Amino acid sequence: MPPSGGSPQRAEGISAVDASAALAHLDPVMSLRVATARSTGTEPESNVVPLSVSDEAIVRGLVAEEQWAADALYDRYAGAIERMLRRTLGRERHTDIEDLLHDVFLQAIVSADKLRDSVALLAWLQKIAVHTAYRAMRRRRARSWLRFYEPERLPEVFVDDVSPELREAYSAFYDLLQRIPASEQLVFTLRYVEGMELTRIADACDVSLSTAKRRLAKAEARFSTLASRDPVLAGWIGEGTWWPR
Amino acid sequence: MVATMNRTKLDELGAAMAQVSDARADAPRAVHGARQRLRESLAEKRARRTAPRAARWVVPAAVVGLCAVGGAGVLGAAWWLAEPKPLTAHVESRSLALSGDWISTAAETKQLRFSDGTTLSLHPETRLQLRETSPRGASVVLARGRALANVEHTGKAEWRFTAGPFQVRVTGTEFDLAWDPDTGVFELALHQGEVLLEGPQVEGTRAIRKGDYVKIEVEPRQTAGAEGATRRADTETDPAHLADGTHDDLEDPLQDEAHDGADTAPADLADEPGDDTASAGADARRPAPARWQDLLESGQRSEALRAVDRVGPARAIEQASARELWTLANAARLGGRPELARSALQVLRSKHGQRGQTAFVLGKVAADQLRARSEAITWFETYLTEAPRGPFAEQALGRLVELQAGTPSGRRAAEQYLERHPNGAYAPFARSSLR
Repeated sequence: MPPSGGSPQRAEGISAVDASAALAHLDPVMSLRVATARSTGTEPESNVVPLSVSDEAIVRGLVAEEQWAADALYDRYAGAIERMLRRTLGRERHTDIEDLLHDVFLQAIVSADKLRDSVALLAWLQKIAVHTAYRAMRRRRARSWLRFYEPERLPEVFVDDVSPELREAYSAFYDLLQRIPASEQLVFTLRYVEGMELTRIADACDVSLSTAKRRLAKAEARFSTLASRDPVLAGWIGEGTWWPR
Repeated sequence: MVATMNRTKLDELGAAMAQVSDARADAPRAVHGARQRLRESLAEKRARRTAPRAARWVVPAAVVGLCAVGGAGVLGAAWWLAEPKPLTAHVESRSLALSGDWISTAAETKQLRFSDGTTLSLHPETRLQLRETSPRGASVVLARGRALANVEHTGKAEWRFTAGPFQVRVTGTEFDLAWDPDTGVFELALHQGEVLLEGPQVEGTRAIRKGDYVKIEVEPRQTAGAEGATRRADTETDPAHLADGTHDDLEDPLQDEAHDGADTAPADLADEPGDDTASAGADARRPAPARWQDLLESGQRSEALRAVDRVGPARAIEQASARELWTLANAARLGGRPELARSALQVLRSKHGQRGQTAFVLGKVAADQLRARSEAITWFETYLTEAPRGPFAEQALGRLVELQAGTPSGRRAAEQYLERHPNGAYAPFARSSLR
């Protein structure tokens, strides 16, 4: 049942005679641009974002430095990239994730002319995101030896349906990951938290498949050893499970 | 080597961690915040590129020059380190001219970051002005609303906050400050440190310490001096403007002293509505205001939205054609006016019978801007019912996977998504939500 907002109508119920309405229905932005171009005889400046265009069109738009293309790229992939950064890095404040997300898309947009295969737009963004996340991890670890440096840590904000056991495991999980090398942490979280396949991980990390496998195996071994000694995580990787069914 | 059994456990643990990570309430804020900053960064880059470039010989010449003054530079650096640096501030990634800048929020929040480490987090419907900055701090006028201040404790910090008739002096602390000129209610909550408070009903200067909460109600009409200007302005200003978070210059309690800087604030930061409350005689001399439709077509989105406010959103929507409603909905969506976008889209559906795409955009507005999860789910489902093979079907289904993650409906949506779009943008997430 649709929410309020009018009576039902067939999808193709727009009259062929009413061309402007049909155009508006299909693509309001393009219709605006066409209308403006007709009235002024000049190519108008695009001021609104097309809602759906192909990846190829987005890349062409980015190369031509059109604002709508940057908006469309962000609209389409920001959620996926934010999730990837957040899951890879773990307990980051939203402002830090915001910074990284900004950096990923800024880099992607300004270097769009280097992207040859627009079919791989998501993979390309993931590659930039992985490198950005890796740099962030390295920066954080480099700072950590400074005893007097206390990074601001805000309390985690969760929605209510996360159990205390899961929150505790979450904190322990990412604390423990700090103790394994950044390159291995990256492969490990991409595989187990983000759920990426190894070939895509290798591609995103810009390494061969065998290197990715080797890093993952090392990370698994280190993580399992450390987790087995951790009072919170031992239950997860030992017998039985804490996973709520 | 890790046993296969252990890998299964790791898969299980990883899936649980993904679920917890996705449950973090601040994820949409990061996406929204980064979008604003990205736009500003790109605009800045474009502006920089259009600036004239230095000739090629300038760089080597500059290197030689720098070497020559290297020794002096070392001495200069020592002096520079010892000397306090001027304060600078950013809203997201945009620099602020500190003298007289007004910063307003409507439905959104904003964070000001200062070079000394101080941050000011503005709640929605808040308006403040930065005045009299020095290397050690600034004078801030909270004209309306609520702000969380985290003043860096440097030992030399000197910050002063004015909220109506109240003065708060700060050397390093964290506190919430609120002022409502309509009701005359002042609130101060100290989270860290100590501040000095002065004002009506406060005897002399009173120290407010960590954990203290102060709420003082003053008679709006009896607030002294410049505060009266606030009340006058409020009664003279169109209430519709106030409701939308845009206010007239007269509302500022220190208006008479603020002419120099207030008018120069960037439009999208200050959101100044211009001369709406100027005298009738001045109005008669002014040219007729541009139509919002014309402003939109010429790419002046902010101006167009202000013009819609002047006409009245309900009236503007009622009189608009289908095409104009589409452009208005998009402009409102991108201009941070989701309620207006929603109204325009709903009229497109109810009056003009436009199905499919309107449902998708309503879903986007609900999910990304209004944070109305269940409403967004309903609209994306509506889109898929109305246009199952439409151009946004993949995105709509992906958004349903995302919005319903961790629920049986989410699992069904994820399975459907993977079946139809195995390589889609949401495929990794759909897979992880099924594990």
